[in-house]
Amino acid sequence: MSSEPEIRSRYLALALDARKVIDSLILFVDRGTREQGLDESLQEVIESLQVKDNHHIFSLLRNRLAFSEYYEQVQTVQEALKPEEMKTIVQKLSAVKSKEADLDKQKNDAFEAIKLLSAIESRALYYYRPQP
Amino acid sequence: MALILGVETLQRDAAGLFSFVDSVCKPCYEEARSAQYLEPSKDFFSYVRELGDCTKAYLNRFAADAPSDKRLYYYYRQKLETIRSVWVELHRFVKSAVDADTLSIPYTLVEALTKRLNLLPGFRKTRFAILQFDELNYLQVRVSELKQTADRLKSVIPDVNPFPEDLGLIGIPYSQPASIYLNCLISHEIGHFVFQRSELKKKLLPEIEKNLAKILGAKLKTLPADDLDWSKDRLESWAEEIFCDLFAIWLIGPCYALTYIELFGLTTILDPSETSGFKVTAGSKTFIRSHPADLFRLKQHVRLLQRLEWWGEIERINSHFVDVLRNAIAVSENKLEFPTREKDSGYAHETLRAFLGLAPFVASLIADLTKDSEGKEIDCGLAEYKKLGGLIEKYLRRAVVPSSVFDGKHHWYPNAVAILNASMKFYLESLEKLMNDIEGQNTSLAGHRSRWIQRLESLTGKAIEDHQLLIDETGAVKVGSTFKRADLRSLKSADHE
Repeated sequence: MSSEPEIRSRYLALALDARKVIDSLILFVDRGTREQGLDESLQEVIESLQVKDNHHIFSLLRNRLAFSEYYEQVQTVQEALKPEEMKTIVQKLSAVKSKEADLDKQKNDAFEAIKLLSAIESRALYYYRPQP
Repeated sequence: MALILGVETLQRDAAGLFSFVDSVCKPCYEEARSAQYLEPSKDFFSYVRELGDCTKAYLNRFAADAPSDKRLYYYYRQKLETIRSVWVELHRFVKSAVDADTLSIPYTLVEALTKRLNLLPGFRKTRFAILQFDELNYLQVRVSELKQTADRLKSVIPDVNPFPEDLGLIGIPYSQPASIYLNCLISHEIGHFVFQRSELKKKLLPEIEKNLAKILGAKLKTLPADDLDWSKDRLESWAEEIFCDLFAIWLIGPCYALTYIELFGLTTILDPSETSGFKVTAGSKTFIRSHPADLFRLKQHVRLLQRLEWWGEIERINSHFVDVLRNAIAVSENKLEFPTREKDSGYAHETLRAFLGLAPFVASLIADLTKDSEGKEIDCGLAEYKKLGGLIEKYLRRAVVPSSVFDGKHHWYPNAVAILNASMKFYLESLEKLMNDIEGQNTSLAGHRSRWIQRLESLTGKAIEDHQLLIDETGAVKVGSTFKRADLRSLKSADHE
């Protein structure tokens, strides 16, 4: 991973985008509160984390968030999560967004998503951190 | 006994971060400063202060707002590390901004470039704060990402104000505040601001896909996503760099290309033992993952200079720098390389070929962007250079500041583009003439030459500084895009009346 300042700031952007969703999900798990814009925010993350087909790689939607805006970010996400965890996070976020399950199940899904998003945030912070 | 993790430990950790934020903000408070700063720098300090206040207010209630569900403690706590990282990033920039007081920055040049940028629709209110860095390479002092980081912080700390929309940041090496020629590279950094602010990535993405499809054919649909993500990133990165180069050429003229040659020592490609007169060195033909090859970049510079009709003027300059530009145009694109360990060489080469196809589109973005609100192309500064460049050189030849030049009839006030390019031409082909008129100066001594280069830059900088004052004087007359001095006799007689 590169230590150029410009590249390092991309890791920080990834950590911040992950944190934004973690914050909303923590609020939901802890108090059952759905923040305004949560559904749109979850959808953006879902679009960023999955590749439906190769054409999708060039879509604006996938390039909006720091999960997949730059190659270093894609690599960091892939390092932080195993392939099956990538599928899990998309499933869990989709389940929270759909609101189809009962509230406890939605909260459990949200908690599982928090754990995976936190792994991404943590890995991004590790790459961002200036090494002594 | 092990401490139970909870509100108390969060309070302690938040307090530690509070102190760190406080220490980063400290230099931004008025009372802690004795130096003078321009308004954009003050705006930046003010933004950091507000950001610091919001962050500290948030940290004050961080522990109290902690989730009651114990399972969430760890994930909530990690937020402090993300906030800390943002402030680590800011730490680097705050120090650099504090170091860049008015005595240490080329503010007249930046103001002149900003005024030109302000001609573009959408950039009328743009201003730049200057930051000073330890690195020499201007390409390593990119600071435009800070705005994006700050904007993202808004989504995790409520009540944070967005980064001021029209405020750009420019980094310069600390050792070069007086170097007018090298600081022409600032215009490339302004290009990054324009690229991001105009959201040109949106226009680029479909073109990147199109050009990769042309080269990869049916493979585009079946390649692993990782490969395509990598290629997309390379093309985006190279395209932005080319855009910034071309924008710099539009903004400031050919002196950008000539400065580029100087900074990167590209006259090294010239080799009299070769029939062609030059040798394509490994460094000059090689793309790296973030930047296109130097010779490819110069080739794009020349193409734009030709389109803007600057090229005819440059070809007349008697300098080996111009030979480098001529040779860059002659280099076949087949010679360009992109060695990398990230992907196999065949795929890397296909990525490079896709970029060569994309480059004309990048050039077209400049043409689209540099039009006024009625769709007319905005003057690139050539006309004024053609009109006044020769006169400016005559003044420099006598070591006189060319802020007002007399053509036998009128006193004209040349603008920054004319001054910079005429000065650069003089520097490249006529410095000896100036030195020969001065007793005791030896043109074969690098030290003597260096002294006169600094003198020339000082004359040039002063002329740029004077320009704004002169065109604002009572009765100054605008003729086309050029200003001339008021008719003082008619002003005097008006006073008498």
